[in-house]
Amino acid sequence: MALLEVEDCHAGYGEAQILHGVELRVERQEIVTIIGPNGAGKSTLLKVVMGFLAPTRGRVVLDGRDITGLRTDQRVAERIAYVPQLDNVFPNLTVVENLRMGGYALPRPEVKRRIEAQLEHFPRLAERRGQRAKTLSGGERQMLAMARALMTDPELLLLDEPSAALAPALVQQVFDTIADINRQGRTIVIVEQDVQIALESSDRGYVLADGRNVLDDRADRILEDETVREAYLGAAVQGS
Amino acid sequence: MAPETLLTVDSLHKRFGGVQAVAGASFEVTRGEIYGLIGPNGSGKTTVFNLLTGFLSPDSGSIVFKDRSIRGLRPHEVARAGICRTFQASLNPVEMTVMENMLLAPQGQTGEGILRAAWQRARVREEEKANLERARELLGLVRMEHMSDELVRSLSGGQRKLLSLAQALMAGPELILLDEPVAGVNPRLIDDIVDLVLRLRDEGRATFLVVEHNMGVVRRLCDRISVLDAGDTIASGTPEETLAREDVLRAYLGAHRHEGRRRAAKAEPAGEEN
Repeated sequence: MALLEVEDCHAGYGEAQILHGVELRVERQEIVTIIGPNGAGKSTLLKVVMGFLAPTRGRVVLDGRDITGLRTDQRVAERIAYVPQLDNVFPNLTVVENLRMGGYALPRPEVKRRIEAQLEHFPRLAERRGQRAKTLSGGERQMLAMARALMTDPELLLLDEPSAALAPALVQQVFDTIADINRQGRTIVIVEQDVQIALESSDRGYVLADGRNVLDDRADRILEDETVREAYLGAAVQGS
Repeated sequence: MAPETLLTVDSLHKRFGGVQAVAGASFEVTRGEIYGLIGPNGSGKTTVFNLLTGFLSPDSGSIVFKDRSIRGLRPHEVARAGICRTFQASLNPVEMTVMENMLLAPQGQTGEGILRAAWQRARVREEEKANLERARELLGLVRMEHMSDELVRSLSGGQRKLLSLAQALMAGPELILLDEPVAGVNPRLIDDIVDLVLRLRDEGRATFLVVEHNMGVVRRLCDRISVLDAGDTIASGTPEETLAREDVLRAYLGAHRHEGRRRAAKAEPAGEEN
């Protein structure tokens, strides 16, 4: 059984309907990347999965259970976690305080244990444990945001543009970290603009355009598909 | 009549701290055409607009409009030189009516000076009447005349785009810069906006430089386009030929950023499990 299934998802913001019947299926322990041009609805889809936005039609199914009606906090309890694109750390809190925020609903000894586990796993963060998040580099900040999301021990991790605003050299680092998190047995769904590198690190890819599925396939086949050109650069005018 | 070059942008550079936002952008806009500036997110399109309109000052490179350098002019001086722009997000005061917004646009009115306002009352009245007539005509052109007295707050995203276009026309510019004219606009209104810009161009009212992500719109609207990637122009030509290029697609897929890495990665065996 798939870990996550999104069926016939319609969603939007008031007058602006963004998703028009999107489907998504993610198997356990996969890394799946969702790509598509600006405005395709990629981030909106993640918000629906996390429960920030209620679909006007369709279902979100986790491990065979319909979770469409659950609030975001209830989905966290179902072991889903989400890392937003920007502003994803508390800049004036230290590294350790940021991690603690990620686990504030847990019993205290457990929080402490998990903070130490994260610091062990991210030595760069351990070195900077007392530093305020705003003094970290972009790559370290992204690492902290992911480590904080891992505080709830999610089975499904949703990442909205982990490469956003990072220098190219740091992007590889972030994707190495993602592969590492995946090896711990976690399932990962990524929305990315930096398509090439994201697909290289993924098992499968989905292409969305204008709020609809246009392609899903093994990650290494996605970029060879002509529909990708059409999704990004539009269709050539007929007859010319 | 030979086509006249209206705007020449050559080797523009702009750096923000450690980020080279614009790195060599170059293109030429001919009078009477609709020219598109496209490129992936972060490729520098809006920064180029800000450099052209004096909101930012370039580190190097030249901007020549009607055979005169406008590099380093301030925004109001650029507007006076004949270039107006619209913004991605509407900046119109929302608690004023559509007509009031239109009347904010004209520059250098006699009534702006206290003394002249007092001594040349007939002239002030005449100018204001002319402005009002012009505003009515332009609102008619964008099919918004029936909304003159509506507050901007009550307008949809698309209607705000139309208003900002009509407002740009108030100053009678020769070149209008449109920053994402159909972003966030309801699909039915997108066609109206495209048709309107085409009509304005056909009637010879202005030349247009457009930043837009919607490729269907770019293909319908633009005579020629340039593609920016990492602040540099990587391709120029008709939409049809330019959007068929392999390097343009690669720019959109982010491939350029990792060419060095990819070469390095090939040297060692990949450690990814599947």
